[in-house]
Amino acid sequence: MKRIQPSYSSSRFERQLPLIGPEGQKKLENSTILIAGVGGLGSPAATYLALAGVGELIIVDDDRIQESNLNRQFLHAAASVGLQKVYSAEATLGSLAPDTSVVAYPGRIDEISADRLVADADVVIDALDNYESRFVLHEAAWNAEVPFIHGAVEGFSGQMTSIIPKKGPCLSCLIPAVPPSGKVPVIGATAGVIGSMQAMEAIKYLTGIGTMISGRLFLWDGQAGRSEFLHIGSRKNCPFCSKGRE
Amino acid sequence: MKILIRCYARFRDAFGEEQALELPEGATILDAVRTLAGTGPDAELLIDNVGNIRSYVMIMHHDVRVSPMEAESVSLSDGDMIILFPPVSGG
Repeated sequence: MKRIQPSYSSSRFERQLPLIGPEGQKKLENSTILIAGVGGLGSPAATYLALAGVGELIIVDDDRIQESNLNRQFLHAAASVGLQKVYSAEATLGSLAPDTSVVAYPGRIDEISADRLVADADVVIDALDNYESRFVLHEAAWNAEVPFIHGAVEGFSGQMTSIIPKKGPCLSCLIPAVPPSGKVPVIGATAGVIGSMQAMEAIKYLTGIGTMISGRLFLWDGQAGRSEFLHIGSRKNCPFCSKGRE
Repeated sequence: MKILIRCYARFRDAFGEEQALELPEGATILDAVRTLAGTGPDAELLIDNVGNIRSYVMIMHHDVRVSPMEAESVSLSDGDMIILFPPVSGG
């Protein structure tokens, strides 16, 4: 938990205080959220969490900005092509929400960095673009009992769920196998929808308001304007989380 | 009997948003997925080279997930709907 001294004026959050109350606002201000990936999903997730008044964001990404990122990754300006994404994101978030402390880590998620990064977080946002890193980060979050808010997109479609460690299915229960994947096409608004939902889940978890999308996978087809909830319990023989379960 | 299959993401691109299939009584989810896949160039998205449903295919039937390995043991009824979804990975 990070304690900050808010310097915002009293009206900064007046449109959300009726919804989450001063206690909820205080919880956001005292929270640290790890955002893994500041690309298509990380842009809306980090932006809405900073604007909501979250005290600290730890942002992680080892990529540099490419021209082809700019259809969706709005934390980065056109003039920033070639820069490390985390520093561009840090600057944008700093200008939008100066009271949110941003810690930028321009490295890769691996077994060593994941444990260290998760240790300081109250919530982890999975805004990564590959399952290899996702499963490494998920394991660290599960072991540290930190909620892991998963999102992924492709084309006009997306998926999202909140993994609450030891209280529901893990990522391996939900997604036992993944198809081979390379560079996927994506409409920027698809990432906008799913990344915003991830921010919403984090706000709900931290303030204790609402019902988490947990134990169910939200599937969304923006092209058809259709969504489903895939209800999924813990897998009986899940190779990851079944150990120690009755 | 008639059943409906709804597809998401790249399955939707390959097989369409919704397909109504005419299947014989007693047909299983495996039969339905094989019928949908057909023999076209995209069949391999759903079915491997020995006719099994690929492990990454997420199947929902009556709001419950059915694993690809169980698909042969789940019989369908007239009017049933199956949803097929491949996990997406982009961020």
